[in-house]
Amino acid sequence: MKISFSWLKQPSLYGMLIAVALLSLFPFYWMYVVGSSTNAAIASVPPTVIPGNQWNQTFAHIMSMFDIWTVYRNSFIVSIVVAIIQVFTSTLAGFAFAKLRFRGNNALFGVTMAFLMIPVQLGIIPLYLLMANLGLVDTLAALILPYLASVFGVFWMRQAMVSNVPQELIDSGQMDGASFFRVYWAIALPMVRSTAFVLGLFAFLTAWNDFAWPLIITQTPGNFTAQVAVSQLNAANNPSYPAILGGSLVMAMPLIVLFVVTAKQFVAGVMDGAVKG
Amino acid sequence: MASKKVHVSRRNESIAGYAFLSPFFLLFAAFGLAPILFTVYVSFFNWDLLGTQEWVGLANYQELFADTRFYSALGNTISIFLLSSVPQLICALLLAIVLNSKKLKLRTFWRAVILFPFITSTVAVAVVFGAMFADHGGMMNWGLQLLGLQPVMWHADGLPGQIVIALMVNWRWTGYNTLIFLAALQSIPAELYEAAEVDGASKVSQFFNITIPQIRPTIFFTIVTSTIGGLQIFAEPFQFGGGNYSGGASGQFRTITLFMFDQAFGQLHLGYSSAIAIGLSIIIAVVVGINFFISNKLVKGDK
Repeated sequence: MKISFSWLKQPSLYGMLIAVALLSLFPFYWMYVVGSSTNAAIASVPPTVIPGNQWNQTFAHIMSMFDIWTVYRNSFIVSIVVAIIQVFTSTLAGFAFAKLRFRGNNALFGVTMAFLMIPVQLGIIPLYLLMANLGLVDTLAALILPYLASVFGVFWMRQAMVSNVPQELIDSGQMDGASFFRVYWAIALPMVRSTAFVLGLFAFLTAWNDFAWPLIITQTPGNFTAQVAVSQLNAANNPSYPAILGGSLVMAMPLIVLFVVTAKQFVAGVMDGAVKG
Repeated sequence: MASKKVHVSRRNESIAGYAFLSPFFLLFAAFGLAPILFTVYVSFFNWDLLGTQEWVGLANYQELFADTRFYSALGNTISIFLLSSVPQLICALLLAIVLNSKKLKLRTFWRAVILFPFITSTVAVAVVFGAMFADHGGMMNWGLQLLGLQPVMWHADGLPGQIVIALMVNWRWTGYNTLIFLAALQSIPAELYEAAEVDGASKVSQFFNITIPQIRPTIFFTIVTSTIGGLQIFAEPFQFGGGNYSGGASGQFRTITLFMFDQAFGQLHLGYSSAIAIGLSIIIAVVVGINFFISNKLVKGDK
């Protein structure tokens, strides 16, 4: 068995990449270092860079501010519902735009794409008023509804349908008497499943990390999502670095696991979206 | 009979088309489009969150034009935007060239590692950087003192605070943009470089004469997306200021979106806040328009 050490001949290339990797990963490590230390240890000179043994105390401190499991549950419900429905609305509309012939197809698509450029914060005030009118302030439904339709998702899924689903398969499906929904569900959707999966990952990630909207629309700790919870730790009267950074790590943990498991698809998804963009 | 059947199936196809678009369009109309249009309407009112609604015409916009807080927030936003997007895109392009090296091993590993910061929430990034750049007892000031330099009051002073906020954006987005550039680099035909090698062109000359022109649409795309995102920056300065809308003791890193949220949900002035939102949108549109203009000019200049 021959082991190749040829990469050692390019020290500058790998040296640079290792430095970048350390920069990328250090903040995560440091969240754990601080989260497992006391406030006093953090302020010491020189600063601690080795984990302490206070993790359980930090965890208890965070639990005294809010119930971590409730926050997990809320963020998980919101993120998974957003991901599934956004994938459904996007693939269905993407399929119609890419594969069905109807009057106004191109014009409607053009109009929709114009909204890719519109800043998201623009509608946040009326959105709040709308939720107030619907009686949805401080509910999980208010966190979900604004994210079920994604212009970017429709754009991306239309591209995926155009490049992955041959028109002949659609036509032959129709010949066999299958309904259009059946053609979408049984033929087109399986052919774009990897892109649709990455769209779902993005939607999940964005919903989990969303901050401004949940900050405004949730009020009671029972409805806090991950980022609002971290924000509460940061805005406490007597802020504690171990609780803030430990809490950030606790709230990032599900995404870290998700990313490690799906890294390959994730990377491919970012690069795929880029070429088309 | 056959033509009738085709006719019926064409009609069914139209019905299916509209039916399949409707879940997206209904949800988008209700929770995307309607709120955006309503923002324009609210901006013509003196609209208190607790009830009062009084038509005031353009008064909110007149107030906005004369409001020094708005110009200060605009200045901070643009400063943070430039400090974050310029180094970020340059670093991303250089890193993409490194990652595009044919000899590189473990490609997927490196790509995943540099994308890792992207999954972090803006809130987590802000609290971590807030702690590393603490005014007293922070890791960075310790490092500066080690080098014999004076500690910097990152939170208390103006420009240092903006630099830290820009660093947060750089840290979170550089890897993402690197992969976008990498995808663009991979789509450049290898023959272009081979021909240049034959002609004896240097690497630097290849970079400026082949790489940059070939990936110009991607450069434009990344500039536009970082403009749209960067000018709306909110969570980072919000958390860096301790979790409130003030943007620092003297508003030294208060951005337009912080100002807008403060007016809406701190002061309950929804009308004025909506005018700020429209103002911000116009500014974003202008900056994106300038990008289009410059990009078109450059393309024409090539020919």
